[in-house]
Amino acid sequence: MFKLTLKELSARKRRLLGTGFAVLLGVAFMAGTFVFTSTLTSTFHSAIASADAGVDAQVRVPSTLSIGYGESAGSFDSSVAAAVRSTPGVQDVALEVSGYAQLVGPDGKTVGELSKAPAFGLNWVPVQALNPYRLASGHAPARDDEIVIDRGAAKTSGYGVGDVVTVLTKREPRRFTIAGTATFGSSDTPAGSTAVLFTTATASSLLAEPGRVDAIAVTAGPGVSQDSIAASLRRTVPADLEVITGRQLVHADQAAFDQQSDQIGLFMTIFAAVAVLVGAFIINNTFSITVAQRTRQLAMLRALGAGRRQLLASVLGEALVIGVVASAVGVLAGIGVANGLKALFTAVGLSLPPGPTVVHADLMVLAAAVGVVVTLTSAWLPARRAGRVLPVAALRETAVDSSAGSASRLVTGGILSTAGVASLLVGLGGAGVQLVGLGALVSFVGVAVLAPVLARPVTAVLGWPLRLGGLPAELATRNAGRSPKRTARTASSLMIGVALVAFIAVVSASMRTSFAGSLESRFRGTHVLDSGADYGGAGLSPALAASLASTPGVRAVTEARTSQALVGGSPTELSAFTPRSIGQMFDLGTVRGDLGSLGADGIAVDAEKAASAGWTLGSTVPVTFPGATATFHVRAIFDRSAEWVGDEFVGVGAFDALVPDTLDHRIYVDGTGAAVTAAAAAYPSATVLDRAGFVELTNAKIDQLLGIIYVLLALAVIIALLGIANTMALSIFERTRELGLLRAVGTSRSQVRRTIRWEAVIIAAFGTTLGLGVGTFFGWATVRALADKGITTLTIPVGTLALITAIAAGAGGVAALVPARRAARMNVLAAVATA
Amino acid sequence: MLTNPVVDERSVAHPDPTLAQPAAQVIDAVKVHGKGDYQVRALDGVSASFAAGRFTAIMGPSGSGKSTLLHTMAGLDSLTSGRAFVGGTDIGSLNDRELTQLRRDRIGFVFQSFNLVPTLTAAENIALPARLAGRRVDRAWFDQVVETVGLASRLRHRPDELSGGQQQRVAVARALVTRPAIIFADEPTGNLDSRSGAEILSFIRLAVRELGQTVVMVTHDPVAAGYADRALFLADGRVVDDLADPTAASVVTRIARIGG
Repeated sequence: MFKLTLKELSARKRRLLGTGFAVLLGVAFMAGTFVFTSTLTSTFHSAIASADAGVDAQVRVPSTLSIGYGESAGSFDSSVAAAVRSTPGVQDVALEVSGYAQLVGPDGKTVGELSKAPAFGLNWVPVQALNPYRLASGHAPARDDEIVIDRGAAKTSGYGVGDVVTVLTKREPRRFTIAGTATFGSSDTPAGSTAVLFTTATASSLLAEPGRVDAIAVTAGPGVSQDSIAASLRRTVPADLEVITGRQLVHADQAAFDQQSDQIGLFMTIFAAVAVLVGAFIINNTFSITVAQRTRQLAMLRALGAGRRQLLASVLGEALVIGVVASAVGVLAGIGVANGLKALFTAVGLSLPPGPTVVHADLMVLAAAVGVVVTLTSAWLPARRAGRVLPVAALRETAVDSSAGSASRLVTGGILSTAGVASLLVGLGGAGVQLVGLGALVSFVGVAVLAPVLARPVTAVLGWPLRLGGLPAELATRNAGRSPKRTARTASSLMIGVALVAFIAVVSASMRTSFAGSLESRFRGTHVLDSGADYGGAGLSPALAASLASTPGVRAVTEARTSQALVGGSPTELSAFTPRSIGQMFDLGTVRGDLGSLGADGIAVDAEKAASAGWTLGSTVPVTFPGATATFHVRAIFDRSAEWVGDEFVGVGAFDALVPDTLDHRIYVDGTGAAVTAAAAAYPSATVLDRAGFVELTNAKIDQLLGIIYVLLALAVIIALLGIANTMALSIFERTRELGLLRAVGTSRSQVRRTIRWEAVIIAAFGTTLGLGVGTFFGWATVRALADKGITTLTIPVGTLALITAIAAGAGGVAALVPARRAARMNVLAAVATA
Repeated sequence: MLTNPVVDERSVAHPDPTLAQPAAQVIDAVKVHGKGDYQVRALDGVSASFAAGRFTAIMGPSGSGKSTLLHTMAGLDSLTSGRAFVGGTDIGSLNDRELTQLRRDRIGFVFQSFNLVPTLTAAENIALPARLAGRRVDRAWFDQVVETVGLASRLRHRPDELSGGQQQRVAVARALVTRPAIIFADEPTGNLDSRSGAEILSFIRLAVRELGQTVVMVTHDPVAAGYADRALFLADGRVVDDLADPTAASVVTRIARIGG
């Protein structure tokens, strides 16, 4: 029986190529995602490991929350170093200070952008074993006005040793002389970011507080283990500091990075899953068609004594071979895809450091296994149909299944769609992203089950305007409605990609309008100074806000900071604002209490949040920051604009006291343009935006993400188009005699081509219609669910959706080019003479 | 003999039997199938002329080359050597586009089976060649043809709702409605019961007698050949006999002689 399977495969190589390709692309994308994320992780992990390589133990402030790589939980007095030095077994000691520092380039702009990569400020560690940087030119910073910069920054800026440059930190901008350039291990930059290295004293005063350090690293003497040196240190340093071994430090730093990179991995895996899902539809469709076309042959085998199981196994065997071959090739192609993904991320401006491509065998096996299992699962139902063919069918004319749908199809599809939508809505309501994904998946399947019922009427309507295209278009419309199940399955694979694109388009358009509307009605200032930083510990020096406040023509200044925190036990991204101006900068509705009295221990809470948490004015709320825990008092309750200030916020004074290295990620200003621009001139890390500019910047950020998403979704659409090409090829094979007849009675080649192409366009348009419907509905549901997150206005981007329709339907026609050409070249006589 | 096919393209609407030019003609037609040792000479130097307004049956045992002759005369297949003419047009000189036009405008087809496009109704199938050409159907002529074949009540039906005989009648109507120079019929009654077959053949004969239509029909059925004005006998790719005003009986006699 397996021999028969192989014969079947080789006899229909060409038609199976399309199926194999659908599997291949899905697997390639999944494998590519795995390779990309493994490479990313490996690159950063090895950078971290080499940076921490010489450290045997480190003394630091224990962090109460997980914090990002390079972030500090807090600083402590450098006098601890004396106790560390005198601890038995300690050989070398290095004080470590880290924070934000950014070079101003010769063009007056910052070297590197905070929105793309961090800008680190560090002290130059004189102990070579504890310093991951190596001088490439010049000498180490010896005086307080000397710095070393990384070679990458030197190359991009054109700066060299001896140049006098401006450096931005959390203090006022200062001028330094470049004493040298350094490499990070052997690479030009520390993992794609920039570094400015100061003397330890300067670093302390600029990046932390004078006399304070973020950590003390030590090397152990000969024969002293990391564990024993750490144990000794624990006995000598103050109890409020923690001591970890070098290995623990590496693990902690790597884990901190993983937390960030896992999100990229998850993001990409979602798209890989979509690609595989689309592939599954195509495999199912192809096998359904080929099994139907082989009904007579299968029946003959049954008549000759083949059992149901044998036929089922024969079809599944075909699927297995396709699945294995396509998955194997897919995994190899995945390595290429990984490079493509890297290029994609680089193209949108997220710089990734160079590093060797890492391929984990187990992940590649996983990707291939998914490909094989999906192929087999998708072929299961058609294979079962093959087994159920009755021997008597050998005597019948093979008929195309032209039934559209039964009551049970309507019921099943209806139930699935409803259940999917319900799960989606519950998930959006806050029950979790898994439920959203599951709901979307089940909804897709439900709509796909319902689609055959819609196929005939919808394709008839879609074909209506094509009647102007003459007889070919008319024939195409009829053909599209001929086998509703086939048309529906083909269209469904396209539906998925289009639905997701439409969904994203609706949500992003709604975000844009909501943001613009909310800015218009809530923001009362004139300008926004944006740093681009979306993490704590970098941004705009508070000195800028102070300078703005004292500039004539500036009426109000509100600093905005952000930090990870636990508020009342729940994790949140907590913001801090200038208490006395926040109320006039934003319309916060009715405010009970006094925003101006937040001080260093007051918290302002949204009315709804306060009600649900049971907080009233005067309630105490425990807040945990990465390096400190404090009790806050509810001093104000507001009832609008949560999208601007969050459900709760504190005063910047609280951050000054409790959050180390705190900078403003944004400053809101009310003042004249000239005054604001003049005051900000010394701080090129601040992008000065007027109200319109701020909307544009936000839109640009949305667009950047949209760009990535569209590119990734394009893959799902491309796979679906392959499916359309495949279906057309199979249909043509089946209609050989009909095409021959058409040619015999005078249909020209170009008319045949147009007939095939128009049919593909109609099927694609049907899939697009389903996708637009489902996607717009998902978009609507999401916007409704996110109303309290500030997406208040539902906007249907009609132009974008029309463009999507035109592109998808047109691409359907392009997908059918090859099948159409083959149909047109078909030997007419052979086709008619086939009896 | 050779006229410009482009000039000649659409001029033949009503073949005039008084014209000396035959409706179709083959000269030294040779068709070789396959290569090397597997070569088969399906046509081995056939010359024949088919007068306009006549109903000719091409007879012969299977493998005699009768279907190949029909296909090559109709422009569905090309000759290895020799020439084939429809009216004054040398088919061998036409490219695919011109051949398509020729089939559409000047030739009618009736096949043994699978004559109709399954997605089109009977009326749409009949109007198909005209619509392919982007022409309006001559309504009066259409109605007359439909009336004659007795399909008026079945026009809105699709092929799968018609009996085999009805389907063949639709095919004949389609062939007639463009007023082609010649209709080629390939075993048109091969799949029909004798009553339906007789109906179709009577109808074809009627079209020849009343409308002056030229018909060339391939058949192996002596009864079918009996409806024709002339029977041409092929064996092993050659013309072996030519019988005027055949009857089923006289055809059987000739076949017996050829076979013996």
